[in-house]
Formats: sequence, structure tokens, C-alpha cells
Amino acid sequence: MKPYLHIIRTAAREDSANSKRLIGGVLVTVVRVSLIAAIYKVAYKHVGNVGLSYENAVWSIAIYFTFILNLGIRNIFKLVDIAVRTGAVEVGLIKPIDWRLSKICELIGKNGLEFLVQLVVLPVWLLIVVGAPDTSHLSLASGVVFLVLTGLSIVAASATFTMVGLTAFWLNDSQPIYRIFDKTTLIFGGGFVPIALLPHAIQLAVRYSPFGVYAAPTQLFNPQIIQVLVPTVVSAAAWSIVMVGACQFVWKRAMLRIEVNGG
Amino acid sequence: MDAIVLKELSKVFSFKASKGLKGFLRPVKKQVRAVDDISLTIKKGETVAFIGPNGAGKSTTIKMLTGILQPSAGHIAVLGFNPLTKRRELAMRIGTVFGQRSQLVFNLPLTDSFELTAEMYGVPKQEAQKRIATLIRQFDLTDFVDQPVRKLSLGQRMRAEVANALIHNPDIIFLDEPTIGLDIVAKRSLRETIKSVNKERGTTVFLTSHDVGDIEEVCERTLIVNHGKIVLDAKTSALKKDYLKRKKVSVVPADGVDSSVAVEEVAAISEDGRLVFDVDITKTPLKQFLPSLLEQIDIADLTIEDTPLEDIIHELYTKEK
Repeated sequence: MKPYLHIIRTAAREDSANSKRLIGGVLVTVVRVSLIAAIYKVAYKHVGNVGLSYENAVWSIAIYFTFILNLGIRNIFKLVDIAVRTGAVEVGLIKPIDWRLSKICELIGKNGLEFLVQLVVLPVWLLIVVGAPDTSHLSLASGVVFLVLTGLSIVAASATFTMVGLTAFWLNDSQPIYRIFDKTTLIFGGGFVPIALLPHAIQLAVRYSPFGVYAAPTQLFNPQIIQVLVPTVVSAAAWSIVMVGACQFVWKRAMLRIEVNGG
Repeated sequence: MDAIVLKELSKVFSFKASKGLKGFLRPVKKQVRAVDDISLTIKKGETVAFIGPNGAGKSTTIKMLTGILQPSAGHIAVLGFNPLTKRRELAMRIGTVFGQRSQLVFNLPLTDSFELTAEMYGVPKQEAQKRIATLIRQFDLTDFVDQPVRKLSLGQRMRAEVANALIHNPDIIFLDEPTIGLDIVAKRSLRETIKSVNKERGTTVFLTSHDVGDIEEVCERTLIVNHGKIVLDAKTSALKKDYLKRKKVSVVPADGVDSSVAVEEVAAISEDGRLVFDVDITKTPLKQFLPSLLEQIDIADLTIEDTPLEDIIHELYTKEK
């Protein structure tokens, strides 16, 4: 495990040298969430309470952006895609570590600092602009479960988007596949509308789909989630196992195609 | 002990030959034999040049040696390991440098890359610090070790790449075109360092390069590969001796250049006030050519040059075609 922690530390140090990117990333999310908060304010004035308070709706979207954009596990596809297309994957394979895990650690290291800064900046900003969310449904136990869900979400998203990047072995460019996965996650993961505001049937389908797993931590401020927390965790665990297994399968197939890349 | 043993190693690539809709509906597959029945043994501590024209099968062989590619047939043992099934164990014992692919952390000082590599290979912290200090001294990196890698010149970076590949004290180092793009001074310096690593640590050097200087100065043994087969396996020093068939005799005539002159039926070529004779010594030995030359021309200066190794290798490549 030590080499992987060292990779995270080194990537974080490398990225911290680029403070402009860090500040830019944080600001973009703050502006995006502020715009969505303004749109929601107008919408809530017209339709009233729709099962989720205005504050909780905006905080849910803020978590989505912090988790999906700032931590950006989905961007593992880009690291994999570039490595496949340039042939750099071959250099990685000669190292005595797992290349895929090393890339995920590199990504966490690169984005981790921005994520942590955002975890401080955005709540302060939202407290000023939107107000505090209702957290009466949360307890210490549910907090722990949400941490587990976050872990499972990172595992499932890492495996899925690594697989997306590996499609470059067949397609030469994994961007189109990425767009399909990313936009679907954006729509069904609560990027535009919190999952709690989606029609009930779609909510149910999303909750037990991989897209719901990627965005599971964004449900923290959805009071209804507490009633289905256990099945949500079970679903997240099941999808994590399926996605890691699928990623392993795709990886093995991809290794047989290395010959195409400069062989 | 043997560092590398290959027995009847082959690699066949297959690819779709037909394109477009026809190719989609009726795919036709073609096969290319990139490595064809190669057998060889490299002893520990040897310095070996593995050379050949583009597409000869060099990269494919290196990829099979390091466990990236699966052979179609044959047997490989690198330090006693099967690279495919024991890739990680083998990775701990080998170092690699790819001239065109950096393994250093671009935006951080060199020391960060070295520390990361040491951690990756499980070198204990104190031992790592010692080795890093030694390599910095040996590779003359002191002046720029605290600079971000992106600010280093190509020559500095390549020295650092080789040092980085040696942090875990590998038994074999694979160098894939390590001097590509370097100037003469940087090339010499890198070659000297590789030679000293081989001498002092006994590290086996497996080098591919298109630069004949790398081969002449670093490697005791040369393997020439073409069309997937080894066409020559010889001591580098013997290459010239065994394959040298021509000598270039260049003279400055005392009484002006007359390019119409021929000696022992070898015609002269006029070059910058000199007369140059390209002598095939298998047909006209020098002991026969030189007296005739001295008899025919009043000479102010004379030089005799061997055919460059580059030309010999080129001849071997083309002969094989």
C-alpha cells in the first residue's frame, strides 16, 4: 500500500505547484452551484415545496459538483486513454505495481487538494447564499454509512471509467464512450436535478443502477434516502463488485491488444 | 549464470487486411511474423547491443522479455523468471529506459522522482537515500537535482532517466535508444556512465540503438536482427575485422589532382583537393595496391580509413533483404 500512498503524495505535490488550476477549479464549481441555486430559487417560487426543500436541493447539487467534478474520479478515463494512445501504458506495465491502481492514486493525488479546499469553501458560501440544509434525518450511524457509500462510489466509478478509457485499445479514442457515460451520470446522478426530485419510477431505477452508485454520496441531504439506506448500500456493493470484475475482464482483453500500439 | 535465455521464440501478429464495408462484412485477417524463431543466451554482466532496421522485431522482443507481450511460441527466461507469469517479480530485478518516454515526474525536482521509484521498488528509506546520493554523484546530477524535470536539458534528463532506472540496483537494464536526440558531449557522457555501471555493479546491459557510437563504445557483443531473425551474433570488436572488406585510401598528390588516374584498376574520386580510392581489399590487397600507388603518384600526404561500422551494419541489413 505504501507505494500507492507515495504516488498520491507525489501527485498532490506536483499539482499544488499549479495554484492557478486549483483556484480556477474551486471558483468554477462555486459559480456553477450559485447559478443553479438562482435557477432553483425561481423554480421553487413557482412550484412550492416538491418533497425536498430548496436548501437541501441546492446542497445536494453542491455535493454532486464537489464529488463528481472536483474529486473527478471520472477523469481516470482521460489518464488511461492518453496512456493507451501514446503507448505509455507499456512503460507502466514494467513497474512492480498495479498500473490501474497507480493511475487512480495519481488522479486522487492531483484532484484531492482541490476537493478538500472545495469541501471548506462551498459549504461556507452556501451557508451565506442559500442557508443551512435540514439534517434532522442524519445520525452518526447514517454518517458512517454515507462514508461507506462514498468509498463504494469511488470504487465503482474508478472501475467504470477505467474501463471507458481502456476502450481506446479498440476505438483509438474513448471520448465518445466517455460522453455517453458522463452525461448519463449527470442526468441520472443528480447533476441537473437532485435524485429526490426525479419521478418515483426513475428514482427507483437510478438508485439500483450504476449511475445511482456513482452519485450515491449526493443523497446525503435527501431525507427519504434513510428509509432505503441498507438496500442502497447493498446495491452499491454489488455494482462495485460487478464493475471491478468487468474492468478486470476488459483489462485482460486489452492486454492482448498491446501489439497494436507500437508492437 | 545466464541473465536471458530465449529458445525458439516467435511472435505472430494478426491484423485486419480489408477495410471499409467489405472489411466489416468479410474481414480478411493477415499475419505478420515479427519475431521468428529466435534463440540466444546472454550471460550476467554482458553488454549487448540488439540492433536492426525499423520493424525488424527489436521492440517486440524487448516487450516479450519484460512481460508486456505474450510470445506466440517458444520459451523465455529472464533471470530465471518467465516474464509473463512472474512479471512483478521480474520488474523488481530489471530497470528500463525508453529514450522517447520519460519515467520522471515532470513538474517536480529529480529527487522526488528518485524517491518515488525507490518506494515503488520497496527500497528501505535509509538505503534509498544512500543509493540516490551515490547515483547523483556517479551521474553528475548535483547541479540540477533540485530543479523540476521540465527545466532540464535533454542530456541532463536522459542521465537522470538512467540513474532513476538504477535506484533499485537491477540485475539487467534495458536501454531503448537512450542517446536519441543528444548532442555529442551528452552522448559520450551517458555512454561512459553506462559502461561504468556495468563494470562497477556487474549490471547486464541490453541496449537497442540506431546510433553506432552507442554500440561501439558500450557493447561487447552485437546482435543484429532483421525480419524477426538474428542475422548476426558477434563480438563488436570482431565485426569490423570479419566484415571489413573495403578501405578508403586518400592521398594528396604533390603535383596537383588528376581525377582520371586509376591504380590497380581502382578509379580515383576527386574530393577537396584529394584523390580518394575505395579499395575492395578482397580483390586488391593493400600490399598490392600501395606500391602501385606510390609508383604512379608523387604523394604529399596519405591516409587509410576503415569503412565505418555504420556502413558495415547497413551492408548486413541490405544483404539480408
